[in-house]
Amino acid sequence: MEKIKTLLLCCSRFAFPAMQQLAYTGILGGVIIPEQHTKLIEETKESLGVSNIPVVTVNKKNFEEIATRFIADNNINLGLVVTFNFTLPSTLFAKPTKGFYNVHPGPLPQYRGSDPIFHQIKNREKYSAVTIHQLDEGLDSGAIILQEKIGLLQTDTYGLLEVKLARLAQKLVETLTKIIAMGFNPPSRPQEESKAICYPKQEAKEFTIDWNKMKADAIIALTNACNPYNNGAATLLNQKLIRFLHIEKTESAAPHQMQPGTILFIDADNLEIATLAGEHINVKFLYTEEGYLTPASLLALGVTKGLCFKPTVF
Amino acid sequence: MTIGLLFPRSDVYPLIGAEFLEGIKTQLALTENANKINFISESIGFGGVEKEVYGKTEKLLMMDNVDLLIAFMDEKILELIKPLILAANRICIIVNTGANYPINWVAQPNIIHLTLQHSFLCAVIGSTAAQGQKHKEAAVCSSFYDCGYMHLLSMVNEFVNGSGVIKHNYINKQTLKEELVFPELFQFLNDNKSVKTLLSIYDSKIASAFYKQLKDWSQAGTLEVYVSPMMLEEKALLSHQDGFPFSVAGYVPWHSSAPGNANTTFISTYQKNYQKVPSMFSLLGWETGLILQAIIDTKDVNYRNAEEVIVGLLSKKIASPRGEMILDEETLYYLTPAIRCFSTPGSNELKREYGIDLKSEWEEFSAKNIEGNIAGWTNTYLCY
Repeated sequence: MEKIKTLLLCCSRFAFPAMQQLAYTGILGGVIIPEQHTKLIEETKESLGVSNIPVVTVNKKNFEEIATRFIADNNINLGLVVTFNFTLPSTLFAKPTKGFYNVHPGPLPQYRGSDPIFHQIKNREKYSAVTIHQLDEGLDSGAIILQEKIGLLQTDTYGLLEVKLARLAQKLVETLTKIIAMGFNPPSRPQEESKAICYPKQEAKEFTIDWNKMKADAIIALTNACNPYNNGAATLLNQKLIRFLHIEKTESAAPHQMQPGTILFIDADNLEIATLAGEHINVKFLYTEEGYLTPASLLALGVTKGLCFKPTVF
Repeated sequence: MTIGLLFPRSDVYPLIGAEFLEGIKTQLALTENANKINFISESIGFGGVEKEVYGKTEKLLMMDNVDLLIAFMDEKILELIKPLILAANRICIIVNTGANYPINWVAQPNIIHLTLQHSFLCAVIGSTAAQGQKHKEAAVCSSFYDCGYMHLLSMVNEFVNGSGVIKHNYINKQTLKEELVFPELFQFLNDNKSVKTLLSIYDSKIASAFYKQLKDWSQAGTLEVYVSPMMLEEKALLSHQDGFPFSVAGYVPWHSSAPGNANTTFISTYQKNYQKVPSMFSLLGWETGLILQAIIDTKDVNYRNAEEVIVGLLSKKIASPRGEMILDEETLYYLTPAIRCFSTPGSNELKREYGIDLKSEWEEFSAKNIEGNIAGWTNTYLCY
């Protein structure tokens, strides 16, 4: 077996299982995290415990210099990016002799961009995937080494899907490092550019419920995509910002003819709202400035049947 | 069409590779398609040495540039060769007993699975065991070798999900070179009279010794013994034609006595060519041949376009010796009917119900992903 020493670049908990896998198998040479992710830095140091594996913090200005020096000083021969804020220059990703790879929480080339988890849930995909690809000059455009699909359930929130994908990423990283350690050069397949879609970083308006355009399933998907990310899908009630965290579709309810967004029923456990095409949704949990609430709290605040939710304004 | 073939080796089943290949060739020889196919074969030993398996797969896909890969190997080692299959964009037919199953059931592009469904059939009998109102407490009986595969997990999980309770785990650590004895199990059964259910997973050789010892136990008549498919193989039952004092129940994927033209053709053709009764490995080979025929017979198909090949296969029902074989779109596993086997206490006849449709049970089984860490043997089941 060939000796591997890996540098891991990361900025989210999505990287944790893969990081632990690398540390457990003794091939993690160091971790670089952007300095603004203070909580992640703390958790990473705690997770690596007494292993003496260095955790280095960087900012946009000093990242390239620090990473280049770290690779040289620590005999790093493999690089892995598992979600990271900064673009890697080609001078950097060419340094490790066994390659630099990106672990992407989505299928490629269909879900390029910085937050594929949000968009896959919002788009109501049936499957998600983790892709490991070579780094190149483009964004998530390098040749694919490994890609594995998993089911995306209608009930999967951003947080749940992230955990599932992180476990899958751990398995794929294990496979990749095994192949490299055996002395093989992992084979790759170029991405089909004709199928490529790149999703830019979301704007605030993408988190809001548009009652006049979105049917019940789309509202539920947006809510799941925003939980816990953004603390839920945003809407206004009497000019007050409310974010829905968990919604169920009311399948058996009779069709209504109310304006979408109108409260049809409210009690301690249910907040039923009219949506497009005569459908209903039932909000179970929500978030406001006052904290995480159930419909009972809204009821206590005087929210009644007939009031109407509106889209937030940007 | 050039086909790469990775075949296994086994000390306990020395003919595993040969009979598999015989099955493929006998099937293909029935049509003119045999002339259209060249095989390049590589042995991957017991299937557990990663460097050997990866190296041989790389040779077939990248250097020999085969059109299609057939790999008789287990699920675990498959993980390692997935990048090669993806990069080559070739169809790969993974063949094994089904003693292991994937952590993630979602169909992956390019990979089709043909198995004897051992884990699944263990799950079905585990569920049956839990349905009995009398004996909800069970002892698990397995060997050090057999317990390293997920068929045991399947049987136990379904039993526990049906509110069964496991009171004892008995793992026999003897090797096949010794005379097999099970004293700790009988000690437990003597001390715990309420436990009458045995969930048993052994391969055919150990199974025969296990049955013999159970038969000699004074209270054998009170036991309900639920067994894995290998325990219902002819080799396991050969010395027990006089039947059992206890009840036995389990499923097998195939039996030579199964009715139907496809099975008759399989057995007679194979016997004519090789002057012996086909084994389950010959069956897997024969069925692999049927899949190859289905691919070749698809009009205008490009063998190298994995997506196109799979679309073609999804629409075809194959007449297997096991019954109608269909490709499950969700998992890309081939499904076939199974045979339910059972005998009542004291009966000298093992009854077989043929053609049991387990599609809904399969959907339930394959909807569950495994949680947590999995340990176990890395080599292909029965290859040691």
